[in-house]
Amino acid sequence: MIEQTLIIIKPDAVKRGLIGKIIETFENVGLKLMAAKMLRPDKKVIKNHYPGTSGWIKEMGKKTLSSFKQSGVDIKEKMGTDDPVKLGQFVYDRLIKYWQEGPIIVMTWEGPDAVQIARKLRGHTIPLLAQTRTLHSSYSFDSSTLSSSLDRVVKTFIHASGSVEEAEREIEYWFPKTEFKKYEREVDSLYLK
Amino acid sequence: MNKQKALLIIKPDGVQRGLIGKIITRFEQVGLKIIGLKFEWVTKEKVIAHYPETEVWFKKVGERTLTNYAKKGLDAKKVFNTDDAIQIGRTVKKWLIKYFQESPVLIMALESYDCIEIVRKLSGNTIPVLAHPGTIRGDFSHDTIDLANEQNRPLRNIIHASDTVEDGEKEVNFWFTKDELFSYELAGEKFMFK
Repeated sequence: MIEQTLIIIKPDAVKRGLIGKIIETFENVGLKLMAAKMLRPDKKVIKNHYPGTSGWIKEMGKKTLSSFKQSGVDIKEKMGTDDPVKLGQFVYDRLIKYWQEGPIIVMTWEGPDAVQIARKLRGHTIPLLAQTRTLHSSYSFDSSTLSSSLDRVVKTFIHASGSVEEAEREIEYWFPKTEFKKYEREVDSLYLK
Repeated sequence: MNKQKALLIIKPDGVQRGLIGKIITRFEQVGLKIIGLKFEWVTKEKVIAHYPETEVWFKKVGERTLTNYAKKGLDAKKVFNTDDAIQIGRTVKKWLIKYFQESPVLIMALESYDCIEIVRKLSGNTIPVLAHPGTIRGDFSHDTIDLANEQNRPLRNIIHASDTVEDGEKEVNFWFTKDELFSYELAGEKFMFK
Protein backbone atom coordinates (compact mmCIF):
# COMPACT_ATOMS: atom_id res chain seq x y z
CA MET A 1 0.00 0.00 0.00
CA ILE A 2 2.65 2.50 1.03
CA GLU A 3 4.89 3.05 -1.97
CA GLN A 4 7.91 5.12 -2.80
CA THR A 5 8.40 6.95 -6.06
CA LEU A 6 11.19 8.89 -7.68
CA ILE A 7 10.57 12.44 -8.86
CA ILE A 8 13.09 14.54 -10.76
CA ILE A 9 12.81 18.27 -11.35
CA LYS A 10 14.67 18.95 -14.58
CA PRO A 11 16.84 21.96 -15.49
CA ASP A 12 14.18 24.19 -17.11
CA ALA A 13 11.93 23.95 -14.04
CA VAL A 14 14.86 24.75 -11.74
CA LYS A 15 15.76 27.79 -13.85
CA ARG A 16 12.18 29.03 -13.85
CA GLY A 17 11.98 28.91 -10.05
CA LEU A 18 9.38 26.17 -9.95
CA ILE A 19 11.06 23.98 -7.32
CA GLY A 20 8.84 25.18 -4.50
CA LYS A 21 5.60 24.93 -6.48
CA ILE A 22 6.40 21.40 -7.63
CA ILE A 23 7.33 20.23 -4.15
CA GLU A 24 4.20 21.90 -2.78
CA THR A 25 2.02 19.98 -5.25
CA PHE A 26 3.25 16.64 -3.96
CA GLU A 27 3.31 17.85 -0.35
CA ASN A 28 -0.29 19.08 -0.48
CA VAL A 29 -1.76 15.66 -1.25
CA GLY A 30 0.03 14.33 1.78
CA LEU A 31 2.98 12.55 0.18
CA LYS A 32 6.08 12.58 2.34
CA LEU A 33 9.49 13.73 1.14
CA MET A 34 12.06 11.10 2.12
CA ALA A 35 15.18 12.38 0.37
CA ALA A 36 16.22 15.12 -2.04
CA LYS A 37 19.38 16.45 -3.58
CA MET A 38 20.40 18.95 -6.22
CA LEU A 39 22.99 17.62 -8.62
CA ARG A 40 24.41 17.97 -12.09
CA PRO A 41 24.98 14.43 -13.31
CA ASP A 42 27.29 13.69 -16.19
CA LYS A 43 26.21 12.11 -19.44
CA LYS A 44 26.80 8.54 -18.33
CA VAL A 45 24.77 8.89 -15.15
CA ILE A 46 21.83 10.33 -17.06
CA LYS A 47 22.10 7.66 -19.73
CA ASN A 48 21.87 4.87 -17.16
CA HIS A 49 18.80 6.36 -15.53
CA TYR A 50 16.94 4.88 -18.50
CA PRO A 51 16.79 1.17 -19.25
CA GLY A 52 18.66 1.88 -22.51
CA THR A 53 18.05 -1.61 -23.94
CA SER A 54 17.59 -2.02 -27.68
CA GLY A 55 13.92 -2.85 -27.10
CA TRP A 56 13.47 0.29 -25.04
CA ILE A 57 15.20 2.42 -27.67
CA LYS A 58 13.01 0.98 -30.39
CA GLU A 59 9.90 1.61 -28.27
CA MET A 60 10.91 5.24 -27.85
CA GLY A 61 11.40 5.49 -31.61
CA LYS A 62 7.93 4.07 -32.17
CA LYS A 63 6.44 6.61 -29.78
CA THR A 64 8.17 9.36 -31.71
CA LEU A 65 6.81 7.99 -34.97
CA SER A 66 3.28 7.98 -33.67
CA SER A 67 3.44 11.46 -32.21
CA PHE A 68 4.75 12.75 -35.55
CA LYS A 69 1.92 10.98 -37.30
CA GLN A 70 -0.57 12.61 -34.96
CA SER A 71 0.77 16.07 -35.59
CA GLY A 72 0.90 15.47 -39.34
CA VAL A 73 4.60 16.22 -39.71
CA ASP A 74 6.62 14.18 -42.22
CA ILE A 75 9.14 12.42 -40.04
CA LYS A 76 11.49 11.47 -42.86
CA GLU A 77 11.76 15.05 -43.94
CA LYS A 78 12.28 16.30 -40.42
CA MET A 79 14.51 13.60 -38.94
CA GLY A 80 15.97 12.04 -42.05
CA THR A 81 14.66 8.58 -41.17
CA ASP A 82 11.58 6.66 -40.15
CA ASP A 83 13.47 3.72 -38.66
CA PRO A 84 12.28 3.40 -35.05
CA VAL A 85 15.70 2.23 -33.81
CA LYS A 86 17.53 5.17 -35.36
CA LEU A 87 14.82 7.56 -34.18
CA GLY A 88 14.95 6.10 -30.68
CA GLN A 89 18.72 6.55 -30.47
CA PHE A 90 18.38 10.09 -31.78
CA VAL A 91 15.78 10.98 -29.15
CA TYR A 92 17.87 9.29 -26.44
CA ASP A 93 20.87 11.52 -27.28
CA ARG A 94 18.77 14.65 -27.30
CA LEU A 95 17.16 13.65 -24.02
CA ILE A 96 20.56 13.44 -22.37
CA LYS A 97 21.41 16.85 -23.78
CA TYR A 98 18.22 18.27 -22.25
CA TRP A 99 19.07 16.89 -18.82
CA GLN A 100 22.44 18.61 -19.00
CA GLU A 101 21.06 22.12 -19.41
CA GLY A 102 21.51 22.81 -15.69
CA PRO A 103 21.26 21.27 -12.23
CA ILE A 104 18.37 18.95 -11.44
CA ILE A 105 16.67 17.92 -8.21
CA VAL A 106 16.18 14.23 -7.49
CA MET A 107 13.68 13.24 -4.81
CA THR A 108 12.11 10.20 -3.19
CA TRP A 109 8.51 10.59 -2.07
CA GLU A 110 6.46 8.17 -0.02
CA GLY A 111 2.78 7.52 0.59
CA PRO A 112 -0.19 5.33 -0.28
CA ASP A 113 -0.25 4.79 -4.06
CA ALA A 114 2.62 7.25 -4.34
CA VAL A 115 3.57 6.12 -7.86
CA GLN A 116 0.11 6.57 -9.35
CA ILE A 117 -0.58 9.80 -7.46
CA ALA A 118 2.66 11.39 -8.58
CA ARG A 119 1.99 10.45 -12.21
CA LYS A 120 -1.52 11.85 -11.98
CA LEU A 121 -0.33 15.15 -10.53
CA ARG A 122 2.35 15.44 -13.16
CA GLY A 123 0.03 14.70 -16.08
CA HIS A 124 0.70 13.40 -19.61
CA THR A 125 4.35 13.33 -20.63
CA ILE A 126 3.71 15.83 -23.40
CA PRO A 127 2.59 19.05 -21.73
CA LEU A 128 0.23 20.01 -24.56
CA LEU A 129 -1.68 16.77 -24.00
CA ALA A 130 -1.68 16.91 -20.21
CA GLN A 131 -4.95 17.37 -18.38
CA THR A 132 -5.73 20.81 -17.04
CA ARG A 133 -4.30 21.54 -13.58
CA THR A 134 -1.63 18.87 -13.78
CA LEU A 135 1.91 20.18 -13.40
CA HIS A 136 2.80 19.57 -17.04
CA SER A 137 -0.23 21.45 -18.28
CA SER A 138 0.02 24.24 -15.73
CA TYR A 139 3.61 25.18 -16.40
CA SER A 140 4.33 24.39 -20.05
CA PHE A 141 3.06 24.71 -23.61
CA ASP A 142 5.62 22.35 -25.05
CA SER A 143 4.65 19.79 -27.71
CA SER A 144 6.23 17.29 -30.09
CA THR A 145 5.70 19.59 -33.07
CA LEU A 146 7.30 22.54 -31.33
CA SER A 147 10.22 20.57 -29.95
CA SER A 148 11.04 18.79 -33.22
CA SER A 149 10.92 22.07 -35.11
CA LEU A 150 13.63 23.29 -32.74
CA ASP A 151 15.68 20.09 -32.88
CA ARG A 152 15.20 19.14 -29.27
CA VAL A 153 13.13 16.75 -27.19
CA VAL A 154 9.88 17.72 -25.50
CA LYS A 155 10.87 19.29 -22.21
CA THR A 156 9.10 17.00 -19.82
CA PHE A 157 10.30 18.96 -16.83
CA ILE A 158 9.17 16.43 -14.23
CA HIS A 159 10.12 12.80 -14.19
CA ALA A 160 7.92 10.51 -12.10
CA SER A 161 8.44 6.74 -11.93
CA GLY A 162 6.01 4.80 -14.12
CA SER A 163 5.50 1.76 -11.92
CA VAL A 164 6.40 0.40 -8.51
CA GLU A 165 9.16 -1.73 -10.07
CA GLU A 166 10.54 1.23 -12.01
CA ALA A 167 10.45 3.32 -8.83
CA GLU A 168 12.44 0.70 -6.94
CA ARG A 169 15.08 0.57 -9.62
CA GLU A 170 15.31 4.34 -9.96
CA ILE A 171 15.42 5.03 -6.22
CA GLU A 172 18.24 2.51 -5.82
CA TYR A 173 19.99 4.15 -8.76
CA TRP A 174 19.83 7.74 -7.49
CA PHE A 175 19.97 7.00 -3.76
CA PRO A 176 22.03 3.82 -3.58
CA LYS A 177 21.87 1.85 -0.34
CA THR A 178 19.93 4.60 1.37
CA GLU A 179 17.92 3.83 4.44
CA PHE A 180 14.86 6.06 4.46
CA LYS A 181 14.21 6.53 8.14
CA LYS A 182 10.56 7.07 9.10
CA TYR A 183 9.21 10.33 10.43
CA GLU A 184 5.74 11.65 11.07
CA ARG A 185 3.86 14.27 9.10
CA GLU A 186 0.77 16.18 10.17
CA VAL A 187 -1.54 14.16 7.92
CA ASP A 188 -0.32 10.77 9.13
CA SER A 189 -2.45 10.57 12.26
CA LEU A 190 -5.56 11.48 10.27
CA TYR A 191 -5.19 9.08 7.35
CA LEU A 192 -2.61 6.46 8.14
CA LYS A 193 -3.75 5.36 11.57
CA MET B 1 28.34 44.75 -5.78
CA ASN B 2 29.28 41.19 -4.93
CA LYS B 3 26.89 38.32 -4.57
CA GLN B 4 26.44 36.74 -1.15
CA LYS B 5 25.48 33.29 -0.01
CA ALA B 6 23.02 32.36 2.70
CA LEU B 7 22.21 29.06 4.31
CA LEU B 8 18.60 28.22 4.92
CA ILE B 9 17.38 25.19 6.82
CA ILE B 10 13.74 24.17 6.97
CA LYS B 11 13.55 22.64 10.42
CA PRO B 12 11.42 19.65 11.46
CA ASP B 13 8.29 21.68 12.29
CA GLY B 14 8.31 23.11 8.75
CA VAL B 15 8.90 19.68 7.24
CA GLN B 16 6.34 17.85 9.36
CA ARG B 17 3.66 20.45 8.75
CA GLY B 18 4.13 20.17 4.97
CA LEU B 19 5.52 23.67 4.40
CA ILE B 20 8.65 22.87 2.37
CA GLY B 21 7.26 23.86 -1.03
CA LYS B 22 5.62 27.04 0.20
CA ILE B 23 8.81 28.17 1.92
CA ILE B 24 11.04 27.44 -1.08
CA THR B 25 8.66 29.41 -3.32
CA ARG B 26 9.05 32.49 -1.11
CA PHE B 27 12.74 32.61 -1.92
CA GLU B 28 12.40 31.61 -5.57
CA GLN B 29 9.84 34.27 -6.41
CA VAL B 30 12.08 37.07 -5.15
CA GLY B 31 14.72 35.89 -7.58
CA LEU B 32 17.14 34.26 -5.17
CA LYS B 33 19.05 31.40 -6.72
CA ILE B 34 19.08 27.97 -5.10
CA ILE B 35 22.65 26.85 -5.73
CA GLY B 36 22.53 23.81 -3.46
CA LEU B 37 19.77 21.71 -1.95
CA LYS B 38 19.47 18.52 0.04
CA PHE B 39 16.96 16.87 2.30
CA GLU B 40 18.38 14.53 4.87
CA TRP B 41 18.66 13.51 8.50
CA VAL B 42 21.45 15.40 10.17
CA THR B 43 23.73 13.90 12.78
CA LYS B 44 24.04 15.21 16.30
CA GLU B 45 27.69 16.09 15.65
CA LYS B 46 26.73 18.17 12.65
CA VAL B 47 24.16 20.20 14.60
CA ILE B 48 26.61 20.70 17.47
CA ALA B 49 29.17 22.04 15.04
CA HIS B 50 26.62 24.18 13.20
CA TYR B 51 26.01 26.35 16.25
CA PRO B 52 29.18 27.90 17.66
CA GLU B 53 30.44 25.97 20.69
CA THR B 54 31.77 29.16 22.29
CA GLU B 55 31.10 30.99 25.52
CA VAL B 56 30.30 34.07 23.46
CA TRP B 57 27.49 32.26 21.68
CA PHE B 58 26.13 30.62 24.83
CA LYS B 59 26.20 33.98 26.55
CA LYS B 60 24.45 35.73 23.67
CA VAL B 61 21.65 33.16 23.58
CA GLY B 62 21.39 33.04 27.37
CA GLU B 63 21.24 36.81 27.70
CA ARG B 64 18.57 37.01 25.02
CA THR B 65 16.51 34.51 26.98
CA LEU B 66 17.08 36.38 30.27
CA THR B 67 16.06 39.69 28.68
CA ASN B 68 12.87 38.14 27.40
CA TYR B 69 12.09 36.73 30.82
CA ALA B 70 12.73 40.04 32.51
CA LYS B 71 10.42 41.79 30.06
CA LYS B 72 7.62 39.41 30.92
CA GLY B 73 8.37 39.51 34.65
CA LEU B 74 9.11 35.78 34.70
CA ASP B 75 11.70 33.93 36.73
CA ALA B 76 14.33 32.23 34.56
CA LYS B 77 15.62 30.29 37.56
CA LYS B 78 12.40 28.30 37.65
CA VAL B 79 12.95 26.92 34.16
CA PHE B 80 16.73 26.65 33.97
CA ASN B 81 17.63 26.23 37.66
CA THR B 82 20.12 29.02 37.11
CA ASP B 83 20.26 32.61 36.01
CA ASP B 84 23.72 32.28 34.56
CA ALA B 85 23.50 33.28 30.89
CA ILE B 86 26.14 30.78 29.74
CA GLN B 87 24.41 27.87 31.46
CA ILE B 88 21.09 28.89 29.96
CA GLY B 89 22.75 29.12 26.53
CA ARG B 90 24.02 25.56 26.94
CA THR B 91 20.55 24.28 27.77
CA VAL B 92 19.06 26.04 24.75
CA LYS B 93 21.67 24.40 22.55
CA LYS B 94 20.76 20.96 23.89
CA TRP B 95 17.14 21.63 22.96
CA LEU B 96 18.19 22.72 19.48
CA ILE B 97 20.15 19.52 18.91
CA LYS B 98 17.09 17.46 19.79
CA TYR B 99 14.85 19.65 17.65
CA PHE B 100 17.00 19.17 14.56
CA GLN B 101 16.75 15.40 14.85
CA GLU B 102 12.97 15.05 14.92
CA SER B 103 12.76 14.59 11.15
CA PRO B 104 14.94 15.13 8.10
CA VAL B 105 15.57 18.80 7.33
CA LEU B 106 15.78 20.67 4.05
CA ILE B 107 19.10 22.44 3.64
CA MET B 108 19.46 25.09 0.96
CA ALA B 109 22.25 27.35 -0.22
CA LEU B 110 20.91 30.61 -1.65
CA GLU B 111 22.79 33.16 -3.69
CA SER B 112 22.06 36.72 -4.76
CA TYR B 113 23.05 40.35 -4.30
CA ASP B 114 22.32 41.33 -0.67
CA CYS B 115 21.34 37.73 -0.07
CA ILE B 116 21.68 37.82 3.74
CA GLU B 117 19.51 40.88 4.19
CA ILE B 118 16.84 39.59 1.81
CA VAL B 119 16.72 36.15 3.40
CA ARG B 120 16.42 37.64 6.87
CA LYS B 121 13.72 40.03 5.72
CA LEU B 122 11.68 37.20 4.19
CA SER B 123 12.24 34.99 7.24
CA GLY B 124 11.07 37.55 9.81
CA ASN B 125 11.88 37.88 13.50
CA THR B 126 13.34 34.66 14.91
CA ILE B 127 10.60 34.73 17.54
CA PRO B 128 7.52 33.83 15.47
CA VAL B 129 5.06 35.78 17.63
CA LEU B 130 7.03 38.94 16.88
CA ALA B 131 7.48 38.24 13.17
CA HIS B 132 5.45 40.40 10.82
CA PRO B 133 2.74 39.05 8.56
CA GLY B 134 4.19 38.42 5.13
CA THR B 135 7.32 36.87 6.59
CA ILE B 136 7.73 33.11 6.74
CA ARG B 137 7.80 32.94 10.53
CA GLY B 138 5.00 35.48 10.85
CA ASP B 139 2.77 33.66 8.40
CA PHE B 140 3.36 30.09 9.51
CA SER B 141 3.90 30.21 13.26
CA HIS B 142 3.11 32.08 16.47
CA ASP B 143 5.44 30.38 18.92
CA THR B 144 6.85 32.37 21.83
CA ILE B 145 9.95 32.01 24.00
CA ASP B 146 7.89 31.85 27.21
CA LEU B 147 5.84 28.97 25.93
CA ALA B 148 8.89 27.13 24.63
CA ASN B 149 10.69 27.51 27.94
CA GLU B 150 7.63 26.53 29.90
CA GLN B 151 7.43 23.33 27.88
CA ASN B 152 11.17 22.70 28.10
CA ARG B 153 11.69 22.77 24.36
CA PRO B 154 13.36 24.96 21.79
CA LEU B 155 11.52 27.79 20.11
CA ARG B 156 9.97 26.25 16.98
CA ASN B 157 10.61 28.89 14.39
CA ILE B 158 10.44 26.80 11.19
CA ILE B 159 13.65 27.94 9.59
CA HIS B 160 17.24 28.75 10.25
CA ALA B 161 18.73 31.56 8.18
CA SER B 162 22.30 32.82 8.20
CA ASP B 163 22.79 35.92 10.32
CA THR B 164 25.67 37.74 8.70
CA VAL B 165 27.63 37.72 5.44
CA GLU B 166 30.46 35.84 7.17
CA ASP B 167 28.07 33.29 8.68
CA GLY B 168 26.42 32.79 5.30
CA GLU B 169 29.70 31.92 3.66
CA LYS B 170 30.79 29.75 6.57
CA GLU B 171 27.52 27.86 6.93
CA VAL B 172 27.13 27.16 3.23
CA ASN B 173 30.64 25.70 3.16
CA PHE B 174 29.93 23.73 6.31
CA TRP B 175 26.81 22.03 4.95
CA PHE B 176 27.79 21.71 1.29
CA THR B 177 30.89 20.40 -0.39
CA LYS B 178 32.12 22.26 -3.47
CA ASP B 179 30.61 19.71 -5.84
CA GLU B 180 27.22 20.07 -4.21
CA LEU B 181 27.03 23.73 -5.21
CA PHE B 182 26.06 24.78 -8.74
CA SER B 183 26.35 27.80 -10.90
CA TYR B 184 23.65 28.46 -13.49
CA GLU B 185 21.47 31.26 -14.80
CA LEU B 186 17.85 31.67 -13.77
CA ALA B 187 15.41 32.26 -16.61
CA GLY B 188 14.33 35.60 -15.16
CA GLU B 189 17.79 36.84 -14.31
CA LYS B 190 18.45 38.76 -17.49
CA PHE B 191 15.24 40.70 -17.04
CA MET B 192 16.07 41.62 -13.47
CA PHE B 193 19.68 42.63 -13.60
CA LYS B 194 20.50 43.86 -17.07
